[in-house]
Amino acid sequence: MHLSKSKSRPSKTPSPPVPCVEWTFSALGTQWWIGVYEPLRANILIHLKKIIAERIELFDRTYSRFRPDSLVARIANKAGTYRMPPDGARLFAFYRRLYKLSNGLVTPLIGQVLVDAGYDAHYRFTPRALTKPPLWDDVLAIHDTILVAKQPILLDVGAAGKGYLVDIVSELLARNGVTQFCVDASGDLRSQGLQGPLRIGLEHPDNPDQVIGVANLQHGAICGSAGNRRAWGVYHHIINPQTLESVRNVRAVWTTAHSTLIADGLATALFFVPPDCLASHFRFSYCIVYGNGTVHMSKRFPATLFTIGNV
Amino acid sequence: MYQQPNKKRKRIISTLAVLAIVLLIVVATSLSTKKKMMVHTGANNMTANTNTANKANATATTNTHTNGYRDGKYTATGSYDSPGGTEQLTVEVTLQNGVITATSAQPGASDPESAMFESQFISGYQPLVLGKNIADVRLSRVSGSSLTSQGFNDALEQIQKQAQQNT
Repeated sequence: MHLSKSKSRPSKTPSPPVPCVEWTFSALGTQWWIGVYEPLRANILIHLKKIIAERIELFDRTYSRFRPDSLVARIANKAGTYRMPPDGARLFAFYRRLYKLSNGLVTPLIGQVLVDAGYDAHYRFTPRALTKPPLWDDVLAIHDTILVAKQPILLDVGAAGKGYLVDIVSELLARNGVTQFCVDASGDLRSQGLQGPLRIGLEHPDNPDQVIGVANLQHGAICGSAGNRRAWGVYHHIINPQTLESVRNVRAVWTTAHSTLIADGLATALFFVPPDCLASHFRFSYCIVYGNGTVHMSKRFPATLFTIGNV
Repeated sequence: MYQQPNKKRKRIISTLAVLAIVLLIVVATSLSTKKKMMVHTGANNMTANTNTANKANATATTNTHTNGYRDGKYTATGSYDSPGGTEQLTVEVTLQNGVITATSAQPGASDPESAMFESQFISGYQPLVLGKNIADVRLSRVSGSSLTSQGFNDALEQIQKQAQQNT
């Protein structure tokens, strides 16, 4: 997406690895990029593209609130007991942890709030009055892959779903013999087995032509969240379920973690709670841009920031 | 009694923060000729004198954000009212190819208490984000909010058009 031209200046650090094969595709409403940093036979590449597309379709058919044939759409229409595919157990177990640690501010029950604000399956972007979502235990009971909806309920797993799918795709690559790769789901990315770090630009939340720093990622996941793109009227897509307003005191968040599921979920959580609430429960580092334009980076966040003032 | 110094300190530091940010904005929008501008921020009146170094911009860029600002160092001094009297704070900004590449702040207070607050502020204020053009930074990938689909963009454009028509 943003492979910049190198300038003729002496580089003090070794060049980041460059993929042998790369391809892009649309999925989950955004653009994905996969880079493989070792030679790949053409027939293997074709096979990989096929199984990845199928796996993504399965995920989308389960969790998307943007298609009428998904499990999420069925749950939104009718109370009952549903069986999720195996990946549901881990996803909702993680959501449950975030829900508890954020006092309900990160919730899969945010779906109806987003729809009422206008971000519905048809992108109507016409807001109605918002209502606070119900408490998890009042409407949902999830054990492993069994989901009981006590009433019709619209789920949205956007806080961590894409990150989780990046992990799933990464596992597919690894299981098929690819040892050096990077999966980039438009800013939520995971790299594995690389021979050097990738230079990941941290996009300026107010200006997509700029970055506010560069992170290094060789093995692990980094996720970025901001309210600048999915924004309409007074809203952007990160809405506080208590105040029913989009978060403004945090403008952008990046996290690194071992898995993209965790990095993604925590990147959302940091819009609602300070890092201290999460620090003892997960292994992660972070960088936060606040509403007033200041930026704070945790000690271990692997980046150099360009800042005005001392870092 | 013990509470008050902290409250006072917070208020002064936030005043200084606002002042510095406004000064930075004033400096960034100033042109290459010497200008005297009046800026009002709430209870504070400030005047900003700007000096420019007339260094020509050697590399032409097509970036719309340069807006023709000349490279060089810009300085602005703002004054604010404190219980100790009217004090000053100076901010210097270096502009290169339309991007702020360095900044510093110098205390100018004469009252010892104001001077203490100013230097605390200068040494401790949280850094502000600074953008560098992607074309100028060697990157493998970029991380930020996810790109939106064409359908999303089209729908958003529709709504925005309708909103404009309705006003």
